[in-house]
Amino acid sequence: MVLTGRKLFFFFLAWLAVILLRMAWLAGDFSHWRRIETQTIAGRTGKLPALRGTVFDAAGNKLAWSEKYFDLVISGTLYDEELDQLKSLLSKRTLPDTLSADFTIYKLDPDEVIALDGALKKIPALQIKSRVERICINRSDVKAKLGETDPRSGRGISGWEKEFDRQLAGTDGEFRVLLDRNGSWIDSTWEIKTMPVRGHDVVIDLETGTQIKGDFQ
Amino acid sequence: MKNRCFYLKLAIFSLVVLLGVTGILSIAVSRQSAADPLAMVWKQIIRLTLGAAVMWGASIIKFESWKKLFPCCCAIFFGLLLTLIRFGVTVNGMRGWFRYGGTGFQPSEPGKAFFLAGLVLLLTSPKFSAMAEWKRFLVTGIYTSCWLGVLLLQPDMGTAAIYAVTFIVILALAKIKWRYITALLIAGTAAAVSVILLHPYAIRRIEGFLYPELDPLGKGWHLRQLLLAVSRGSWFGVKSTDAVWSRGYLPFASHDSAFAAITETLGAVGASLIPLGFLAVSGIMFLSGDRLEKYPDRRLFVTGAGFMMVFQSFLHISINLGLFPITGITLLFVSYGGSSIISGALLTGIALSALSSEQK
Repeated sequence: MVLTGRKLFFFFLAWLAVILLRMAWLAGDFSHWRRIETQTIAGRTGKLPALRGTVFDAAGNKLAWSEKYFDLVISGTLYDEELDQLKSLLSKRTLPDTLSADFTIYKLDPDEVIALDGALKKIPALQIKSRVERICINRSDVKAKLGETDPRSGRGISGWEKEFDRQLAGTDGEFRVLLDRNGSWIDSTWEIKTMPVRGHDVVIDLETGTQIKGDFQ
Repeated sequence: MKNRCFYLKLAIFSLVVLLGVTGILSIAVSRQSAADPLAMVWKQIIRLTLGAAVMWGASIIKFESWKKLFPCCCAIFFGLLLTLIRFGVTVNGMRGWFRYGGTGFQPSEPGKAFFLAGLVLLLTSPKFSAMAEWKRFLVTGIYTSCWLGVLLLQPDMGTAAIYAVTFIVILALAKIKWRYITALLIAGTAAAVSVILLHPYAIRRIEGFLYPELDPLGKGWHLRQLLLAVSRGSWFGVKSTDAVWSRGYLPFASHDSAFAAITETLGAVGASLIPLGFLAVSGIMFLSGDRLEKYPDRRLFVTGAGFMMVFQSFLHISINLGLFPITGITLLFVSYGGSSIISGALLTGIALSALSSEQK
């Protein structure tokens, strides 16, 4: 038997058939469990907190409202070059010469958030975290009646915040993201599964403490 | 006849360029999360351009001129492989690279063309043809053993396997008696088993292939990631921004796992064009080689070059699909790396030269 190029061609044609069958096996329903496994390994869901409604008085003045802030948290030790880079990016602020772990820089400007975007990828110790802060009008009599909200859940725990919590609290949304091998978010895979629904505004009669109407016009 | 050769060359050249472009796509996707995502892409474009120039240059040198250059080139590349033992750099347990600055060079890759050339010269030289068949078998066996020896000292099992199988195929094409080839296959298998047993990392790879579920975070990790990446691509692939596995989980996504990385983006339908492309290139070489009966040296080189290219590519693809134990083999023209591109360019270019109809 003499080996020829033609015979080699048919040998590789048979090998190609095996390759294509294997690819079909891995692509088809037989391997659906593997696709689910990748979601389990890399997929994460998280909460998108709903913005709490605003409390107005009858005259239309804001009594309590929510604002979202972005803070820079340093979760590890920074090298000298990294600290120098951070200082140059946040040139409007005066930072100490050394920064300990868990040091937080509060209320970043939008410009600062944009400026830090590149540094976040290169310096793992830096993280930007968002938080929602409930702000009250600076009147002690109203503050006492308004009550407080829980800083973690954002729900009302006393006063009018608690009484009208059902109207004020919105519905949290949900996002989904894929993580890389190090547990970091892969930004381009972030997507909203459910949009958060903002809470309703409430108009309260300061004298009686009753709700006049919802969603101040 | 001249037109036919021209169209054959054009077909091979075009297919090779398309494969190279696919490689650039794969690198671009797998490097999206890197600090400088385009750095490797630009390097690969430059290397492919260089490879195309090498292929074109090799194809315009007359094959008779190549035959005069082959002994010198063989000696140079064999010498480089020997020098690696002392001056080579070790990467992933293999001392197979020279490094200068940020650039690495792996001589075993372009050395393939000249290993094949040396084998062809030995089998077709008039002095050699006059020898008894057992002597021809012995001389070519010693020649191949020298190359395999230096490769196994690195140790580069994957490349050594390519060289060894090519040797067997060339002997069969040269019509050496099958009893010699059978004896060689038996001895070769015994030698391969011995070499594997001497290297614990090779045993770990075989265990990881046979029982990946027993050590999914260790020996079975790479195989598991390959299969997950290929499965994620399903039939038509995921969006390039969603090609998470080739970006974050797949080891060596641009090199030894290139096919799995591409399959995640292109899906089974798109990625199947790659093995089809390689079979088309080598099929042209195989069938054209059969027409060169009057020129045994050219016939052996063209068919041998086609075999080396498609065998390496199909082996890489089969490893990425979990059909073979993992070994470090690149996908010619597609995987990142200049040495692999030059290897394919030389094999293809010299084969195109041998196919040229301007020569006698």
